[in-house]
Amino acid sequence: MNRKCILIGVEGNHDQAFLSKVLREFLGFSKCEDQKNLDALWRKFIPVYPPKTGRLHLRLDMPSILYTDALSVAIYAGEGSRLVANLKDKLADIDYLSSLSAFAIVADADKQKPAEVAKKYYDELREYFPDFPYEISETGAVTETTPKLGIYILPNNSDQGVLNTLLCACGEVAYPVYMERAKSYISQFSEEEVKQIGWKPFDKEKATVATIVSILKPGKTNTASISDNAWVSTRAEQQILSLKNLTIFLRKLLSI
Amino acid sequence: MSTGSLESITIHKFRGIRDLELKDLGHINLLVGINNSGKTSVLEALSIYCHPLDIRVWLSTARQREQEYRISRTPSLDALQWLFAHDFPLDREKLKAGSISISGSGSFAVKQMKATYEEIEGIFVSEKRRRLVPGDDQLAESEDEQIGESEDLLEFRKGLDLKVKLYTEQLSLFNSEEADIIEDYQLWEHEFLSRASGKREPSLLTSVVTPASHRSDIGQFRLLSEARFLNFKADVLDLLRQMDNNISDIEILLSSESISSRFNIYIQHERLGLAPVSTFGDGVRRLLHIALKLASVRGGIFLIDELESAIHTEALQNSFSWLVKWCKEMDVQLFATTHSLEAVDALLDVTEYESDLVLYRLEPKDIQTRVVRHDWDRLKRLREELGQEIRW
Repeated sequence: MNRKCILIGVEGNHDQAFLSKVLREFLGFSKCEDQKNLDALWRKFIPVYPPKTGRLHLRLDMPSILYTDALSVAIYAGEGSRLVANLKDKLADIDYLSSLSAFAIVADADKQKPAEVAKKYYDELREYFPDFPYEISETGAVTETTPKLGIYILPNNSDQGVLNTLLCACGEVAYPVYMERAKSYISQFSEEEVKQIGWKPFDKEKATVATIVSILKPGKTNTASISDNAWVSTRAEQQILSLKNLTIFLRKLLSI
Repeated sequence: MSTGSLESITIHKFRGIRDLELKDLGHINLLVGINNSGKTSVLEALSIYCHPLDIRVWLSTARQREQEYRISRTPSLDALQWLFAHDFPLDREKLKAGSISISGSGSFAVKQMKATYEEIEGIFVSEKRRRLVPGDDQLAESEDEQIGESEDLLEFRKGLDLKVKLYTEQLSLFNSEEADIIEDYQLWEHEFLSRASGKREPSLLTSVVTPASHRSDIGQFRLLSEARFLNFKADVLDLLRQMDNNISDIEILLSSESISSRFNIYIQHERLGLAPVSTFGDGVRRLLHIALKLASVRGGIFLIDELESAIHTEALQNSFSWLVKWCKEMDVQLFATTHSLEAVDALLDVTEYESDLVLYRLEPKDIQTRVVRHDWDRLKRLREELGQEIRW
């Protein structure tokens, strides 16, 4: 095995599952389930549990590893706001400049505009990657440096939103009837009710997706549904520009 | 809080190491890396750097790895030669000369040491011939007369011309190009090499614990008898109780059956009574050895190869807690190698501050050794928050 290694940081498990599905569905990647297919660099990303943290039930982050004959991608999900801090610690432990052929962040714009999010990541990562991009177009940004550096802000690099904004668009293509019913159900909750429950911006989209997931995969998580159901499909890619742009971004990043 | 005598060390050339830099040293410095990455060589380089003119230290360092082997020991001169860096690819010709270069910063006066050797050859009167001639003057005279007539009484010997150059802070202010101290030594094979003992100063106190040195009794009694040990004997007993709760005291005694007047270390044990330390398990002997060595190196550098050796994982944390406490108490800077993740985790648990513990991972590359440095803060996050494997 001598594949080029690409590390992509995302903010949560849903983003991780979504990106993993995009790579498998559109770009010919397979999920690495067997340690013997694991590239040496990623062996370090498998958590070795410390014996006495005092937090017996703590689960540590395990990246999704996907590969083709020539490429090996690790999608590392940090703990939201801890993403950059965790990535910096991990990068400090590897010879990242010579061992990575590309590094990217796929984040969402839930609290700030996409340009502001990109600038925030630039500020935080320039110590490790001085050329990290911060000016984004509709297909995000990828540099021609070595390693290649990229950033893509969900849902579309220009509007505020989250992964679920894009998933709702995917749902309109894959499950239009269910989407209609889910939206109708969600709309029964008054503004006062959701305020009392404590919804944050974009929680409506999250609840809509979760409603459909509970039908498609009863008792399972969103990540299982994103992975196994038809949210991400060729038909969705043809009809949803932001999904198509995400694929273009990944092709540039991976040089394929 | 002082982190110790050395603030940084760069091993430019030593054995197979090239340009290995340990920056911002801490009080406890842990060296990890795959086999043959140079961890033990770093400890050896520190021994030489801290005693650059003491040929006995050079020799003991050169032979350190063979301590546990009673047979097939490498000849002293050959072992010395292997301390030096040589040009690659190595062949017999290139072994005829070599160099060492180490620099450091901190309170130690020596800022850089450079050493070179060249192989030489000499003609000596054989031992058989020496026995025929009683005095040195007569020997010289007799040699002149008889060379050529009885060549079988003469022998060729290999030797080394060793030159050590030291650069110290004070004089370097005036001239940074010229060495402040230059010493030359001529060392010959088959000679009792420690005769050429060199100079003790300048030096920085060091003590070495190898993976097997606790199995040898040599020097243990001397260490135990030193008055400074008495100051922390009670704590040493606490340490030994990590291994065996029935240990109540340590004594230096002359065995009633001994005919050589040789003293030995005895342990007072609740169930066994007074028993020689040699009858106890490896763990007890190892911890006692570490404790005694630590007591001998106040204000200096403590070098432990394979820190976790002979200590059960369950005893690591308490043992290391003791070690860290006394390293601080005695202002000792510790350099230790380990292959054990449990040892790293245990040390993380018993240290608190950024400067307390620094981990260096050595990664040999084509032309130099890459060093990954993690201070206590990052190491703690990597291990406890991210579960990162940090040994390779």
